[in-house]
This record gives sequence, C-alpha cells and structure tokens, in this order.
Amino acid sequence: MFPKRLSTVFKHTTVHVLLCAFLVFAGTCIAASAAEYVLIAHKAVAENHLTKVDVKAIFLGNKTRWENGSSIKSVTLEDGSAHKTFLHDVIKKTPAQFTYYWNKMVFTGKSLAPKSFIDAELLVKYVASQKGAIGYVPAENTDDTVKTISIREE
Amino acid sequence: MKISVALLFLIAISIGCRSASAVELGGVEVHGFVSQGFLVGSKENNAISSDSGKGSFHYNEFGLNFTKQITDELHIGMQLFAQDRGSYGKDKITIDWGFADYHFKDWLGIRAGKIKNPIGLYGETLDVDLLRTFVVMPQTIYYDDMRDTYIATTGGEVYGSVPLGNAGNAAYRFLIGTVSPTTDDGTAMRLNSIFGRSLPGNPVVKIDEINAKTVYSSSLEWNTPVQGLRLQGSYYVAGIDGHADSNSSASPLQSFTWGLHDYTRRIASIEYTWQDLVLAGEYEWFDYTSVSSLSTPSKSKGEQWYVSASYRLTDKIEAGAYYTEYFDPDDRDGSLYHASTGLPAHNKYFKDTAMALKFDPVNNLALKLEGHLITGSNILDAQNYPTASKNSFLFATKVTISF
Repeated sequence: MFPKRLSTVFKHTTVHVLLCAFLVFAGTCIAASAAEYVLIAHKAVAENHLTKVDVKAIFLGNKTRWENGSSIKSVTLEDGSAHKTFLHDVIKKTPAQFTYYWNKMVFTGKSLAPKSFIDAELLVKYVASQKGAIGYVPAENTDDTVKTISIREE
Repeated sequence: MKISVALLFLIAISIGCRSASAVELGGVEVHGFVSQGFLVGSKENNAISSDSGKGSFHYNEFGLNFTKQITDELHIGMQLFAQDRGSYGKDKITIDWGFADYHFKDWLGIRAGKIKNPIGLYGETLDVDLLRTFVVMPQTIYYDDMRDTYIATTGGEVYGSVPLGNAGNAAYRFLIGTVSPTTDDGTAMRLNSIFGRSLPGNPVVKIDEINAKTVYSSSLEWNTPVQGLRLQGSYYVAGIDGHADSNSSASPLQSFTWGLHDYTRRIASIEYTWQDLVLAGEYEWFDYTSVSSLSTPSKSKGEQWYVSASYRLTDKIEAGAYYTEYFDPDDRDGSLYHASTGLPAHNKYFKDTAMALKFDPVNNLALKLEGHLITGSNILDAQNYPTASKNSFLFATKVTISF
C-alpha cells in the first residue's frame, strides 16, 4: 500500500508521462503531415509564398494566373499518401471528391483537368520544364531544378 | 450497330486507362462513358421506361467528348451523346455540348455554342452517371423526360469566379440562347400528357410542331467560409409553342395551337460536405402559362424539393438516400383535383424515397443498385392515370464505364 503522498506523486507522474507521450505523438503526426508533401513550382515563378486559399483556388481551376499575369499550369499526383494528405490539408477534399470535381469539369466541357502523374520524379521533371507550372510531391522527391513554395494559413 | 462499336471502343480504352486520365490524340483530349441500366417497377405505374412490370434495358447513355486548349485563354470542345429511354431518345446521337470558351480573367469568361444550363446543383451533370451516387436523380427537380429542353442552351454565356476574401468565393453564370426540341423527344411527350389532362375528356394529344422561345439561364454559387458548405441560386426562363392534334371524344380530331409561356424555374440549393459525407437539399418553385386555341389561358404552378445524403463507406463503396416531393401548393393532397375531375387524388402529387449503393471495384467502372418507394403518380403520363396505383416501387441497376 502506497503512502498517500507517494500515491499522489505517482498519479501526477503518470498524467505527465501520458500527456508528454500524447504531445510527442501529436507533434510527430503534425510534423509528418507537414513534411509529407512539398509545394513546388517552376523556377521562373516569382511567388515564394501562397495562402491555402490561393493554393486551393489554383488546384480547383479558380485561379489561373500568377501575380504577373502569366498562366498557371497545375499538375497533380494520381495517388499515394502525399496526394491524400495534400488534398486533405489544403484542398479539403478526399481523393474521390477531387476526382469527381475534375470529372464534372471535363464532362461539361468547362475545363481540362490538371495533368496527373503516377511517378513523383516525372512530376518534378515536368514542373522544371514548364513555365508557370506548380505541383506537389513527397518531400524526398524535390530537388534544385524546381523552387519550393511555402503555404501560409492566411 | 454504331453504338455497339462505340461500346467496344470505350471498354477497350477504359481497360487500358489507369484512372480517369484522358486519351490524347494529336493534342486533343478525349474522354467518354458508357452507362447501361435495367429498371423494373410496378406494373400499373410504368415510370421511366420500366415497361409495365416486366423490366427494361431501355435505360442507357453514351458520351464521347473532345477538347483542345488552343491558347492559354481559349479552349474548344464538344461532346457527342446518345441515350435511350424506351419511348424517346432511342440512342440517336446528338451534340450534348459544344462551344468555344475564352477566359479573359478568372472573374470574366465567355462561351459561345451549345452550353449546359446551370439548373440546380447537378443539372449540368445529369447525363453523366459516374458523377453521382444515384441511378435515378430526384424526378421532381431533375425530371428526365424534358432533358431535351432544359439540359443545354445554344447561344452565349458570361461566367466568372470571384474571390471574396474571408467570405469565401462566388461563381456566376448567365446564358442566353435557344433550344431545339423535336416532336419525338421527351418534352413533346410530357406536353402531350399535360395538354391531354387539361382538355375536357382527357383526350390523347399528339404534338406535331414545337418551337422554342429565348432561354435565359443563370446561377450564382457561393462557396461559403464554412468549410464544405456551398449555396446556390438558379433561375431559368423559357417558352415553347407549336401545333397539336387531339382525338377528343367530343370532336374526334381537333387541330389546335398551343403555347407554354414564361416557364420559370427558381431553385435554391444547399450542399454540405464533411469528410466522406455529402448532404444536399434543393427547393424549387415554378410556374408557367398554358395557352391553347381550344381553351382560355391558364396559369400553373408547382413546388418540389428533396434532401439527400451520400457517404463513402470505403474506397470502393458508397451509400446514399434521398426523399423528394412534388405538389401543387393550391391543392397539396389532390382533393380539389379529385372533386373536379373524378380521377384519383394521388395523380396530383409525387413522393419518392430512394436508397442506393454504388460500387467502384476498379478505376473507370461503377456498379449501382437502387430501390424506390413511391407514393403518388404525378410523373406518369395522363394516359396511365386511370390504372395508376397510389403506391408503387422502382428498382434500378446500372453499370458505367468511363475514361
């Protein structure tokens, strides 16, 4: 039988350990989510930062021009965890809803869907070669042939 | 034969495609779909080609579209389309949409050609089965048989999308033009029924000429700052007139002119998406004036609404349900209609509860199963009224292949 004081200390310690474990776990999750994809663009694109609202508008075809008036060419991944996380975090759609959205545009003639890639390396090569191109890839796939654009909340 | 070749072509292409990616031919993107359904319903209430309780395969759509980006601002495209609904459609190939689109700014673009009308949340995608959970959309707001009149307008459009900062985003569309209905299509059949039940003795009416007036179609969509919530208002005005014959018992064959003037539809829509759940609701109130050389002009009006929910259970399975109603606001239970005509009150209204399952076993393929419990017979032809029962069912299944 623990003395009362020792029992209280034990309870507090347990709570602290659990709290720390939760924070470490949550922190790991947030870090994993944030690092899972990187927004990349052609090196000639002037923008270094975009808001989430802007990025969402670009990938839904509602924003088609950079600030200097040149054309935006958005490209997407077809599948994978970076694709799912990007859609969830920024576009606020599931992969099925994103596909539905672009099928709607295609089958009513309103717009062509963004070019999509199975392979992230091919997407990086495309972005590096096309003026105005923007896409997202897993963090480990980016290189110095493209620029990285940070995403701001506002 | 042509359709069979198209079907094989689409299946071959679809199997070769990993996702809904386009086939590209010389810089032209090509997409397509084939949908084949089977409907069976109550013997007495022969709704939408269900063939008097025996079941029918006369329920399909085929689409093939071609789009080319000419410059950063300009793209052109068209979609060939055919459908069968038993008594109309009959897989005749038509141009579903075909236009040139010049995108000046994100807030201003123009289109010229044949353009899909923005009627309600899903009016412009009504032909494309793969874009929804349900086989049969609510037949109140999205009535299948007048598709030839309201699905698209040939003319011009201005459109745009405007960011509203913290208030979200707004998109507008305004179209003006005309339509080209024919005497063998769904609108003429619906009007045969409407005029038949409005004339004394409910004679069989056959329209032999149909002309359209100017169409105005517009929508304003607001993607609100509440994540996943969008609101839309749609406004549509059109008119048609022509000539018809009736075999009225009072006068065996009468020729008459007719008109359906200022057919005005107003639809308020709401959709809320939360993760894999999509909730939607739409409410429409419409009115029009019927004119005929056989009778005095009369005004008609109606109200209709639905609520729906669909939920993606897994990557491959989606479930959905809706409830919808049509009624005449001045005679909601049909009692006035019954008192004046002697026909059953349930001919005056329509209520439908539907439940659906959609399977996506592989990319480019969708399978659907759906059941409907229906009360009222208002969507039927007037000629079916004497034998129509108050309660009926409809079972629908459909396969869609797309690329």
